[in-house]
Amino acid sequence: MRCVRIWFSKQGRIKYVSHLDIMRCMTRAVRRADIPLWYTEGFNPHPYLNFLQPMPLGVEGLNEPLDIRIEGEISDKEIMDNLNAVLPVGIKVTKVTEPYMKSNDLAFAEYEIYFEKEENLVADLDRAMKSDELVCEKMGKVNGRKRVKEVNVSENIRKYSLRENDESVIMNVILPGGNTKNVNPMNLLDAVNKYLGTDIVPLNIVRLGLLDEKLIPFE
Amino acid sequence: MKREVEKVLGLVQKPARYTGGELNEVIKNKDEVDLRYAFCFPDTYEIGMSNLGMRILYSLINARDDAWCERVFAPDVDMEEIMRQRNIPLFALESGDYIKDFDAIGFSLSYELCYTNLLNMLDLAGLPVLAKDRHDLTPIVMAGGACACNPEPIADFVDFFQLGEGEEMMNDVLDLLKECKKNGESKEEFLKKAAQIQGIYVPSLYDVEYNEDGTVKCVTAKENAPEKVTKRIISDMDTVFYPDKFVVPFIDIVHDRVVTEIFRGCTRGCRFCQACFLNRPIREKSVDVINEDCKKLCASSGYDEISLCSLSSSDYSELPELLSELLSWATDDKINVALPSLRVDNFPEELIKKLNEVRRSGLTFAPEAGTQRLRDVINKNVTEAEVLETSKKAFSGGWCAVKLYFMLGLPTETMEDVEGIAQLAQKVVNAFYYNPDKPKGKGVNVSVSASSFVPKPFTPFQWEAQDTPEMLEAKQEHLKESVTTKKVTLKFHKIPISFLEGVFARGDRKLCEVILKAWQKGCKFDSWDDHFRFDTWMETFRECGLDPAFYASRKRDFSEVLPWDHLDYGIRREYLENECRKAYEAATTPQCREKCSACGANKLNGGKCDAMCKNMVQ
Repeated sequence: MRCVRIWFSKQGRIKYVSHLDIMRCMTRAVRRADIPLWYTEGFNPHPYLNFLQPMPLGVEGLNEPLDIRIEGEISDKEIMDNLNAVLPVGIKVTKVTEPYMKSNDLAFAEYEIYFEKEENLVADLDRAMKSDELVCEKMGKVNGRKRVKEVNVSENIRKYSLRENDESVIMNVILPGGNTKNVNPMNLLDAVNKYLGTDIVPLNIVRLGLLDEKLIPFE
Repeated sequence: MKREVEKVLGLVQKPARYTGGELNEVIKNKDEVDLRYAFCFPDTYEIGMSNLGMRILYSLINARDDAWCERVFAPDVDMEEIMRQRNIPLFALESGDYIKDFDAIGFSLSYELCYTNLLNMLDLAGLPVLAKDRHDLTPIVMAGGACACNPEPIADFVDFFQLGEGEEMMNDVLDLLKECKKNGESKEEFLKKAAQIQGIYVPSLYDVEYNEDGTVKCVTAKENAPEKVTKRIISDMDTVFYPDKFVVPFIDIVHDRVVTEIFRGCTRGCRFCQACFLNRPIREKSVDVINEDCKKLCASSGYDEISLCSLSSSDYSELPELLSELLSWATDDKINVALPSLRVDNFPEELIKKLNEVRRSGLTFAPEAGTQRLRDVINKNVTEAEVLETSKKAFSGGWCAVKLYFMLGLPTETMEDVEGIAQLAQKVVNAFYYNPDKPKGKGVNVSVSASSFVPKPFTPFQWEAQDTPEMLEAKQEHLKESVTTKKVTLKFHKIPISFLEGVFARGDRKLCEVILKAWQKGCKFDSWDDHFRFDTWMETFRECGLDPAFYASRKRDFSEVLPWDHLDYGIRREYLENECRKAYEAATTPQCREKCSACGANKLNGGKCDAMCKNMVQ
């Protein structure tokens, strides 16, 4: 049995497919792809798949890791080609590697958020991102019970930048995305909207990749 | 996908219901096809995507070079609200194009309570809901499925119905539509020609007259339409089209697995069961063909479960051969084979073991009635000893949860029969504890689901009165009181929903007005407990001057003209009358393989019926 790390992109309308559903979709894809899978040895044998960092609904991903376990001879290139032949439109395997880092090394995720171009938008966003009063409401557990919690997002923004092109305003932001701490870019936007008193809906959100504690790309 | 749709996807629950893009969906160039077909299922994505009829017809239409079939489902209420706010018309999943611009819109009618959704979808599409207000040839609106056997309650909304099996009929219809469209013919001309295709029922070509008491006096065909419309069937299951690919949904749907039919029809003749009589005669698919279908579908979908579909799986004549063929490769591929609709009387022990090699599934029995007398009335030829014997085997095989299905309100039912349900469940519980091989350290759970009986057309009980809601309520209460152990859990169907189903099932054209008005008042998703608005329905009946009890709770005389008497599903009316009389005497009818009781359905297949030729010495 050996473990391989599959890197894939998820773009287009498939971004509206939730994490759980992508898991099922990938499980079926590896079954279709003629890959000699290792099956768990319980009462309900199933292939082993580990998505290291779930993706929020409505977010595209360019560099998403997925670990699978295989048994038998197959090259990394074959795994990639076989999978790409059977994956639904929107998901593409970009490379297959050894798992160099452990999932515990995951700490941050880099996002690009696209907005419809508007006057003063860059300045407004900048003002909001600089403030230390960005607060959003999030479902969380208080004393073991599910409650709506207020979360301060400002202290979690590791890094951000804003730029403009002909069509849109783009925010690049690095947010916590590890096993212990995780901030969804939608939460950040909620907080920004609350701060500015606006109702901005992004055109698109793209997760560029995952990073470790030192902001080195996860491998 | 249209941009205005994409914009709202972030605002709704489960947006993947509306995006399309699933594996194996069919994309064509719309400029290269002559016909665009919107296959509509009047319920949500999760329900509709599970429908086998839709999967078959979707692939069948798309196998034609000249047509492109796309899928459409009823948007859930949150999506509908946004669509109406922003004037987004109903669109098809594959192209995202609006279905009002399509050539044909086909609805699959699996249950009566979807009728308001059909109206709602037409309206969301931007089309008039009444057939007479849609003047152009396209889009033509058709419907098929189980409810097409009595389509009268929705006769005003649908241009024509397909009775019976669609595999050949659909192609005939599309050929005609293509020609009429090319020649610029009118909708009326098309419908007149369509009525000549076997299985096609054009309600506008039939006039219905009523007696003073509200019953049907007569139905008269005009414009050369046939006096009786006979349902269409497929004669050879081995050569008929079957898909080698299923669209594989992203989101979890109700039946998310490979499904292969093993035969159509049913040999058992349980008197309450509409599916049995609507789908006769028996036609089996051969082992090799089923095996090949399963292999192809598993390979193209990646599913890890196969379900063999029929009305009574264990009645398939070559079941052991089929299972060993399937399991010879499925086990290695970690694919589970599920066999729903098993009969308790012939559940072979070695099959339990074989089927459990990969994964264990649930165990469900349907004794339907609590006492032997009542089981004889409904011709469910299952004895208590058989139920207990099979449960014991299952418990020895490691199961510790059993589901039992019953019906309340069956003809001639008494409170004693209701108590019988609780007693039978108790005996199953006891069978577990007295069983020396029972799973160690585990308790048993017997889940009893009691639905309310709804008399349906084309069954021996089509003349029967449905129990009134009050009677059903009393019976549910009595059953609750009769259960004394916590090992038995009870589940009931909502009585008002069953009542409305009973009204529609045997309704006539006068109900069109009620359905239209109730929909205008906001009724939709009537089969969903949380959307069902019984008071609105009752108010609407009053406004229309109609009594719902006239349809549901009234016993009909054999001499009465039934609203569906001009439709022919192959079963002789005299046979049904005779079965009904036998029911009162609690006299059973042997199943078809033992003795043919001449229901008449084999005339549809040139006198052939697989129940006879495979197992009977003639």
